[in-house]
Amino acid sequence: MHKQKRKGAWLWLITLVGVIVPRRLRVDWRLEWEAELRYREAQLEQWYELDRRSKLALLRHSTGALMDALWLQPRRWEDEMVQDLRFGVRMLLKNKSFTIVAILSLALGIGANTAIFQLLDAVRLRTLPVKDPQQLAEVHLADTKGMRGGLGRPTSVTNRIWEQIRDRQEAFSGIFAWGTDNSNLAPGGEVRNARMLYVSGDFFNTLGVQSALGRVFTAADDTRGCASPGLVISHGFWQSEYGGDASVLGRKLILGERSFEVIGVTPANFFGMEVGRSFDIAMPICAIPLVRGNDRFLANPIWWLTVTGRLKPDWSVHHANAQMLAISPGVFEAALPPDYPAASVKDFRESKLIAGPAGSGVSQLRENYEQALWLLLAIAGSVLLIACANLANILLARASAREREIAVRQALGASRARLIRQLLVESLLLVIVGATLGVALAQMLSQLLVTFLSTADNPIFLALTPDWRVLGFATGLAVLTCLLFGLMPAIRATRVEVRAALNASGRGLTAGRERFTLRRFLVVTQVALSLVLVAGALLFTRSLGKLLSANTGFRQEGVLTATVNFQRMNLPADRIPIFKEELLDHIRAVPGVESVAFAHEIPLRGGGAGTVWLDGQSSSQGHVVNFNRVSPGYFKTMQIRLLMGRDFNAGDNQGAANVAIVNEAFTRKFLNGASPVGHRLRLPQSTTDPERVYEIVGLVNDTKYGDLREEFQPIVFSAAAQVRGAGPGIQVLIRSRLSEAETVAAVKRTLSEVNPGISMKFQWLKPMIEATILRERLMATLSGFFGALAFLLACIGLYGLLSYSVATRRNEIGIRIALGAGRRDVFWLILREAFVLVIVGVVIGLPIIFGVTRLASSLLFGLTPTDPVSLLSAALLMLAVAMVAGYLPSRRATRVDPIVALRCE
Amino acid sequence: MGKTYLSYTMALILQAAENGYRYGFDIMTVTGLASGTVYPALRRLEDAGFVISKWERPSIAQQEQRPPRKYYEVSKSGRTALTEARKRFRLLAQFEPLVIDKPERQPG
Repeated sequence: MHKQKRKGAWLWLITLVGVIVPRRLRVDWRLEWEAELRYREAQLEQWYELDRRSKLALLRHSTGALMDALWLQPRRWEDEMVQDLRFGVRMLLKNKSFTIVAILSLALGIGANTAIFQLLDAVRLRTLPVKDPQQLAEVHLADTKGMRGGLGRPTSVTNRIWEQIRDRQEAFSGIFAWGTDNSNLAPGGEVRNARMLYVSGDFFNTLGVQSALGRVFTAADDTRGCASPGLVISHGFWQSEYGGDASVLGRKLILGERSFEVIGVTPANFFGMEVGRSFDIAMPICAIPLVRGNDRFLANPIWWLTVTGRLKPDWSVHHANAQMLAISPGVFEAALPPDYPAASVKDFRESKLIAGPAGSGVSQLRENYEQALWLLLAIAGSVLLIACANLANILLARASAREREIAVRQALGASRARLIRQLLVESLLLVIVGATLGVALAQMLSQLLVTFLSTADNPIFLALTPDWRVLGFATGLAVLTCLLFGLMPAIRATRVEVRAALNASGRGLTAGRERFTLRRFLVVTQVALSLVLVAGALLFTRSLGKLLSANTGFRQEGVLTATVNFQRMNLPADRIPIFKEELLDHIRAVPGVESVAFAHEIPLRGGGAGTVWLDGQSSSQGHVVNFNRVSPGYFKTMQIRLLMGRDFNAGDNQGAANVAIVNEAFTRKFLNGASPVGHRLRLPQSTTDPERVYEIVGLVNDTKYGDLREEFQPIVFSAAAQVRGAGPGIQVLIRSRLSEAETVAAVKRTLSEVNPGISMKFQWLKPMIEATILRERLMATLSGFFGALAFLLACIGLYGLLSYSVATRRNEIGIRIALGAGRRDVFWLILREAFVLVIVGVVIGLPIIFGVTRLASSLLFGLTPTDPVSLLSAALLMLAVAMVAGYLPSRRATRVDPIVALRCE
Repeated sequence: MGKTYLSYTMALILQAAENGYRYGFDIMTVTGLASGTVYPALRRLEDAGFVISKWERPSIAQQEQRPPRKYYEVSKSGRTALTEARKRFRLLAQFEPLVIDKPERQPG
């Protein structure tokens, strides 16, 4: 083996460079390079003597080994990662209770955040599931000044305006209009509503939505006066009504009084243009007269269509906006309805069309809940932060326990970076498991939230499959969490005085002050954040309580509302008012019914408003009031007090002079609180009636009209029997002594006996009103839940710190007791610490509350964001945290036996 | 084993291995590339599954009184990748197999 003795410089280089090759690969690596170099060496020797030149060439080749070795560096990390992971799993399995607590709190924290984010994603961030949604733009009026008649959404237009836009626009490669309505599927008896989506011919084509079965509408389907249009049903309706049967095409469905044929089914992911609300049946706009039995929606100024278009390739929204402005005068001139109220004609003519992006559709849900959801996300984020502080605290405590282990490892040569990485891997493992569970949990939680927000009247449909945004959010959250609770303890744990740690037997007279400062800081942060959340929870709960107990001016309990429709009976117009009276008589005769009346508007379900003025004044002195048209007995049924004058009676009919009853807010606004009876008021011309004069015959107490949150507003009640041209439907209010089920059954039976074609829908007034404050209920429930969680976490955090403090200070406490400190002194020694920490937390938290709750003020009712009762209660609750969390450790401290404590020296 | 985009250098090295130059140093000689290029490239090709490394039988090495050498064989997927790379780099096809007997310089 003489060759190995003459080891060339190149071989030495390989041995040297080999040091930086990851250990696992090192032997192999050296062998390969050595073999190649030796082989080449042998070859060269064989061919010609190894001269200097070839030796240099060999050396040059061997320097490539450095590049090779460098390239292998990343594998070093992979190697150690596996070791770290293995060790991490082992450590976590060893501390099962910690692992379970950590994973559960992370799963809950990440799950709650992800669930709320998922909802936000669905209502706010996602675009519609159609082709190139970013190219869509909505066309609507710049303001509502010129809008009179039946109003839908503030961005809706009338059919005439839509037709003009369609014919004049140049900005869109395709443009369509859509509107929604309900239609009864049941032939009589209780109503079964289908959610209708009326679309113009180019709707599906412009959106790029293909049918899942059969065909969708084309421009040819939507022509004025279409005689027998087909139905396109949604995937959901196809599943629920037909069980997904493929032979559904050609089946008949009766809507209104006519039968229509199913011609197609839309894809499962398509829910129409409104996020949060799906549809059951789509029909061309031209079909609405066939379904509704009249052409009011096409001919009259009813604002119910939303116009959306797909921009031409080289057109921007801005550009389209300019074109819409340019065509506005022509559109409104041509679309002006013949009998439009004179006062509004000018405003109508001067209305302006504007275009805005529509890629994410429209959404009532978004408008109602977006702000609340962002706030809830912030709250849930804070809870996660508190949970992180708790975990960091536990990890810090564990770091102290592992001080010797870490010192030993450092003494044996482990680098600090390596140790930090090792500790971080443990946190990472926790977070990965926690986040995975959290994302699974989020699916259930977000579904639960949707169920919470759905009502019988307004079922919510949201696509809640987690998309990249949701998963990215959860991942980001997990990484952040891991760094938050893992990094600081890891850095802290590896900063050990190796010699001191190895020397000491893990106990001193007082434990490391610095480490305690950090843990105290964490607990103070927890208390401060919890205070904010608890205060928020109290604010929202009290706000909900105030709303629920708000004085509505009428009695909600025991009132059943019945929406009754007898269109199918085809009564002549002059017979309708009489038939309505007869219906009321029939219901009144039902045993147990105390009183009954009908009204055009049911309280807190919205209604109509307009400007009125007192007779003798000019119209410019008028004010906006709310309207309602009610039958005699309405005030009795609703238990609204008649303060002055009289109720409507049978004499107030078409032939008699128009009469009205007003509320107190009206007299305050118009008459400075003087008696209104005998005054006359004027109503301006509307889209259906000329200008009218009403004599005020009565005064009733104030009632809420459109919204529980509003102040009392002026209301003018007119006699329903004096309304001309009323349709074949009424909303009946029934006050009954019987149980809910009995009342409904009895009324249903009675009405069906009158005529089986009468359709009806029942709802109790109280739950209906409660459904209007779902957002407040959501905020109160969730913030209450998170507040309780924060409270609990703060207790656990403080308890952990104090227990640990007592355990490490056993000697000190022992000495104190030996020197004559009483039990009470020792008890207070620990409890005082608890109180100091909590008070510092409260002092820090209070200014945060003042800063933060202002953001929530629009979600509060009857309270200021700095409601003293809520803030004080929250602060007191936090002091209770000190008591609850401090009691046990303090008592444990008093039980320290000085002899035992000092003997363990 | 994700698909790796083959650069010209990588394709050249793969082609060399395919042509029978299976040792790192032979590939260096025949391609004219530096050892600091060839070896990392071989590692990447191996990671991508385009080449498989094997040790030669110890008996051969023992005869020549040197340590056993490691050689690289083109795998099936490597061959597919090479065919595709050939379409992109026309010159590769002209890379003909030759026999190395005397590298570096001719005797004389």
